Amino acid sequence: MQETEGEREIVTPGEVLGKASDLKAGKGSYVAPHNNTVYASLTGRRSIIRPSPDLPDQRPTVEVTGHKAHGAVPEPGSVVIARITKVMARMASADIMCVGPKSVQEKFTGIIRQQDVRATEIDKVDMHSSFRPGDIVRALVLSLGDARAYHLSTAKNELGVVSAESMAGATMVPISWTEMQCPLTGQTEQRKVAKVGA
Amino acid sequence: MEIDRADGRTPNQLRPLACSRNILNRAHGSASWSQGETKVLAAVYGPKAGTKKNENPEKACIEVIWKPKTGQIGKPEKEYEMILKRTLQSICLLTVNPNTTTSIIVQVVNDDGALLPCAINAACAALVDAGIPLKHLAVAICCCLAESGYVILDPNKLEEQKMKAFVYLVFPNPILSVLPEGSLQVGGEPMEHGIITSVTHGVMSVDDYLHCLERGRAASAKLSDFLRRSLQSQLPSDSSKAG
Repeated sequence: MQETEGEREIVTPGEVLGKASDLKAGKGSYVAPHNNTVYASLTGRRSIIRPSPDLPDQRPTVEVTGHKAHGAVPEPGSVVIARITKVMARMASADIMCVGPKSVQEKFTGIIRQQDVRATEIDKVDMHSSFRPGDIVRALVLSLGDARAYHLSTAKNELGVVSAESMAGATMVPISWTEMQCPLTGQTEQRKVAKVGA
Repeated sequence: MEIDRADGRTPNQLRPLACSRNILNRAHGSASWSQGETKVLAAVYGPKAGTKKNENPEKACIEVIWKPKTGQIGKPEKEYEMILKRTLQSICLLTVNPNTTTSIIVQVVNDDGALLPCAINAACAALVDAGIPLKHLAVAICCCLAESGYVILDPNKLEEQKMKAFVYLVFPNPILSVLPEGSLQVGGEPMEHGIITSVTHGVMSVDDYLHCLERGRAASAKLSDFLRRSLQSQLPSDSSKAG
């Protein structure tokens, strides 16, 4: 996808960017359903991105870029980095720190339920052998959950604990999918480890 | 009928406008808006996790907190909060960040008439500064009706107190389009955005109200143009703040 030059005029919210039949709404724009028109939703520069030739939908995407962005907000399907704050028998609580590559400005809380820790033998999961408070985990946002917390999942190979401290205070290294080892003492601890290099 | 105003303005003349954005460090977005001696500071915090009680968690929630210049918050301020909340809810894209709350703190710096329109304009500029997605901008104006039946725009405190009735009007910004002219017409008519909010105080006839509406809409184009220009001129050039 390449951007076309000469389409860089500044727009403000509510300005018409084009017709939905000709353009796809990207970041900083939206389609009004009553008239199928694409409008700007942010203040910034209008840019049109041409689609790859192999895509079936050959409409270019219009975006409004260069604006000051608000902090990242978790949404279903996004991969987040979170710190475990509390581990209970049936669930673990975590504070979301990053959504994709962006850090959050506000505190968002997530919960990992017992059935969402791993994909296999979900009824045999021991939460205390999967996470400990202070662990940094990579997780997938399943849903908005309730008003208090987002529902997170680590039920994929590439999801789980990415960084953890041992009792001795050193950062442990993963030695298997379920174990991490302290480099100072050699002691192993149980974790739901994220696949390295993912 | 031409009338004399204490400050020498014509009936349709607005007080000098000033707007500045990104003036508070800790807020996610902020703006100050002044019309003559009336000045309001607005700060936006959020989106924060979770919605308020009795709010739809599948949509974003808007929370407005009004801070008077002095003293405690009273009934008029509570009403202002409610009007502001409903106005801002109608211009924000609430489906973009569901189950989140965005707080707008409105601090009155000085009140010399037309306070609510000034606050709405400040809040709108602050939302833009915070990068909150909006359907369109909103511009607010106050129209006053005197005992003799003439209409004046953007009154100061003294004029407001002398008037028989006044109306606060909030309009969406007129459509600017990159499309060729005529392509946005509905049934041969130019597509009208309409009105977002209308709050009346005092007694006025339907004809007087429609006259105020007409005068307010004409003046809103100037306000909208000023708001657009001030937003565009303060667009961040450094990519560190860019989304």
